[in-house]
Amino acid sequence: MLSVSDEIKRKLEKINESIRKLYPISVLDPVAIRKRLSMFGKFYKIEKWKDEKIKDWLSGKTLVGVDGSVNSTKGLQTRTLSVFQALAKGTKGEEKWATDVYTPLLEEEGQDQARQAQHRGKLLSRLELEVTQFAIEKWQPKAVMLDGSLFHFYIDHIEDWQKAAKVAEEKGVYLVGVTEEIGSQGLVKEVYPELKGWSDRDLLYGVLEVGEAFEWEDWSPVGSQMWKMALRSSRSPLPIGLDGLEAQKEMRFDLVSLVYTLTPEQGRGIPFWLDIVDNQVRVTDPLVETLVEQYIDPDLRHRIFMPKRNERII
Amino acid sequence: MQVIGVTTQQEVHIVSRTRKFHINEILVIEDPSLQDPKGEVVETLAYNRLIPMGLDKSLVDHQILETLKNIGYDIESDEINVAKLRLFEEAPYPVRTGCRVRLPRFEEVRKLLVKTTPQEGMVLGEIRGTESMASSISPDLKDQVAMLEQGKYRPQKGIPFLFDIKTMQQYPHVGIFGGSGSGKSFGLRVMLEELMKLRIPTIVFDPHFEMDFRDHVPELKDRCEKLQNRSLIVQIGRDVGISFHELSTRDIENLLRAAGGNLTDAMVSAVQELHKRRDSYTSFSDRVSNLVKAQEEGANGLRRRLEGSDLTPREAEQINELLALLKEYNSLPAASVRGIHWRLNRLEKAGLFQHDIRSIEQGLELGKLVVVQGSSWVLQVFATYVIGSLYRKRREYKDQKLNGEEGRFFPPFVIVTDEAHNFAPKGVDSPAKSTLREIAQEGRKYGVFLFLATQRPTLLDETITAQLNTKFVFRTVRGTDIQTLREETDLTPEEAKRLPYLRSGDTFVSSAAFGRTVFIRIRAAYTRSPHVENPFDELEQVAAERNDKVLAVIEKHLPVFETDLLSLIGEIRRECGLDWDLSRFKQELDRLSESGQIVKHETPFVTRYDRK
Repeated sequence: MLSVSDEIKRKLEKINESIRKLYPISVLDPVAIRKRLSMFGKFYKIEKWKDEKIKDWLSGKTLVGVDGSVNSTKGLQTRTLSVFQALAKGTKGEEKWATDVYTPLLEEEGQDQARQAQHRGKLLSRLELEVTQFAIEKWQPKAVMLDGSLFHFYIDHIEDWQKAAKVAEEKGVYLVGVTEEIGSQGLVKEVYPELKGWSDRDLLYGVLEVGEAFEWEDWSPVGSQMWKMALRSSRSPLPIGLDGLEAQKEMRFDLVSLVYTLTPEQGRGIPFWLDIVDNQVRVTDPLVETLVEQYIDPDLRHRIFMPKRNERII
Repeated sequence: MQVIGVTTQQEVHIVSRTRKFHINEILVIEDPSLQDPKGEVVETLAYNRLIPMGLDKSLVDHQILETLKNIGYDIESDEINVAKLRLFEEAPYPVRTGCRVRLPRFEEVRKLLVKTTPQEGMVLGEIRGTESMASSISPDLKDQVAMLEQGKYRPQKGIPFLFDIKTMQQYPHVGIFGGSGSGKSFGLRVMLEELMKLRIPTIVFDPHFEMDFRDHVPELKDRCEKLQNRSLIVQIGRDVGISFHELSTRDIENLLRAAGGNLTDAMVSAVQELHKRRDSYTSFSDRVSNLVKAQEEGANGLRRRLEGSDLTPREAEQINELLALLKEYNSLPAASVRGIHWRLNRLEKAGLFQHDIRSIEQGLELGKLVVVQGSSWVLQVFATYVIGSLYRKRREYKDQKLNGEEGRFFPPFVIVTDEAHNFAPKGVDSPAKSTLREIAQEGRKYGVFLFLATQRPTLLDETITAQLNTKFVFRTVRGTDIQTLREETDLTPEEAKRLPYLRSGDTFVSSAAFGRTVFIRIRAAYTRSPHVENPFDELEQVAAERNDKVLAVIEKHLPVFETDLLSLIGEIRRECGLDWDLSRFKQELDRLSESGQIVKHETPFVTRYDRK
């Protein structure tokens, strides 16, 4: 049996109380929240498309999902090796892969953790944008769904992002970013300035009905040239975030419907196509281990990358 | 198809994205350094990593998959098929991972699967997992069997399974195991048909009265023509019996034992004293019944009667005989003698002593299949006698020949029985057991072979089981029987696991002649068992017939008032032969009105039955 000390129980109970103070029941009433929200933005009812409709909409073109993944050897912060993979996968069987590896060991400048994380984010964004651009140019899809918001490309790798966005606009390929976590705080700051520390996610929890979307015009920061919406695409009470190019704004409801149509009723609310891409692209621990084992000399491997905790026996 | 993962000298795993593996199919691994070893698929599985079975995860709904399919993506294309392949022969070192794997051509595996010709061997069925070789199969093996699957006949698709009966010389005796409904009886029937085809003298003991080969399956008419007139059915007590004067005292002990449970020591010694060599049934049974009579009256009673006045000389003689008997056997306890007398009567009533086994011997000499029918206990008694007697004949002939003497030819033959555990049970003594054991151990020397079928291999005598060199294992559910079969055959754990789930008619053949286990499906039988009518259908049919008759009689008199029923009863008795009293007749009328065939009108004064 798992024994838990009384002390930790007491401490947890205390924390629960404190959190409760931050999120008082009085403000958690969905009806009230909806009322407040409707003063700032608009609610929309989204319909799932029938098979015929989705076929018509795609008009014989492919639909592409893009996702990337990174994983590193386990070890000291500066003694790691990261493997990057990005995949663009079309529903007609097209696939485009891009890969890279990175280790802070070979960087000349300072190697603090935040910089490393930033660097990794940038690298992954670059790979994802690379396959996206390839897909747009080579396959001429109707639309590309990207895992994660488009906005983070804007943050992580603005040059490549602008290039990709331009190509998409020129070719008439619709881009849509799908985030499972809405991390922004803009909405809550505007609507409930008195609630400190809340994120938009906390506010939207359980507020939308299944198949309902919420749009607030000022959600995306000025300059990003994007539209943004929240959509409850499955039974899960947490909505997902969708964003797209300002230039393609008039098509946004089609894209929202497309995402909703491709999302299983049960589950976390991400289109199944993106789950499939994610499943294929995911860099798993065994994959990293195998690659390192295969291509890094044993002495280097043990000297640098192998943490002692790997040798735990129980 | 490709070899993946860890390999050993005996087993490899194979993966394929496009092809589904069939259990028991044969595949060739293209590893030139091992001369392209071949193996058999022993386990299969398929999975799709995009449709996982996590109980804690959400499921992908069908709708989404359909939508994706509609826009060009088929999730099933991501399915992966995996098979475990066991090599037929152990390799000197493990197979190289990554080798290509392909389907064999028939010629490559012919030697492994086919050991004789359809003309000389028993054509018992189709080898499972050989369908992929259908196109390259050689003409002499094409269209040898008809198969029955889900109640429909279909032509042969794979390679036929041929049992080379000549290998029985080396690897004698066949066992057929399987629970009820496993297809065991059908398998036995098919084997018997093949024995008839080959004109092998065969004696079958049939406690179920089901081994009748005269009724042919119409769909397969052209195939069974050659079986006509090759079987002979005899019933104990009607066509065949035991010639008493040939029996030894020991035989009689066995017979009496079979007729009513164990014999006491006193009874055994009584038989030994009472039975004389070359006794006929009459002489022996007269002796026993006279002794019973004498013991009942006692010496004094008899003497008193002898002193009586009005005796004829014949009666006096009889009484003197009884007295003499009593004197001769005065040591035998009366209860034992009475027990013997009772058992002897039971055997006599079964008609056991009124015939002999000439017709069986003749049938065998003509190369026929002789089916002996009788109720279970008589069959046991008779089988003991007839097996012993036939075996002795064959042995005598062979022994004489060995000594250079000229004996009367008696053919080699096959003994077949269902419910073999009744004839040779483990741990318990039974009359037939010692003979069967002897045949199991020595029979091949004389050309006498056993085909024993049972649903309870665990209950069959172990010495005999061990001598069954070829075993057909059908579906078996009972754990202890599966355990026994695993010990007695070379079934692998994977195969044993499949036993409870086998389809009716599918069977593992574990044969010393083959050197490995083959998975086959028994072919369709060309003949069928006579009693296929369902007893419940019969019940319905009889009831319906009777109803019609009764209704026909009543109809003429409708409407009938309750007060007039008596006269009708008489008519029903005459017309339908049904002896009903008034209350029974009323019950029957109520039943008919319940089922809507007539209508019952009830008023406070009278009840009336009328047409509907």
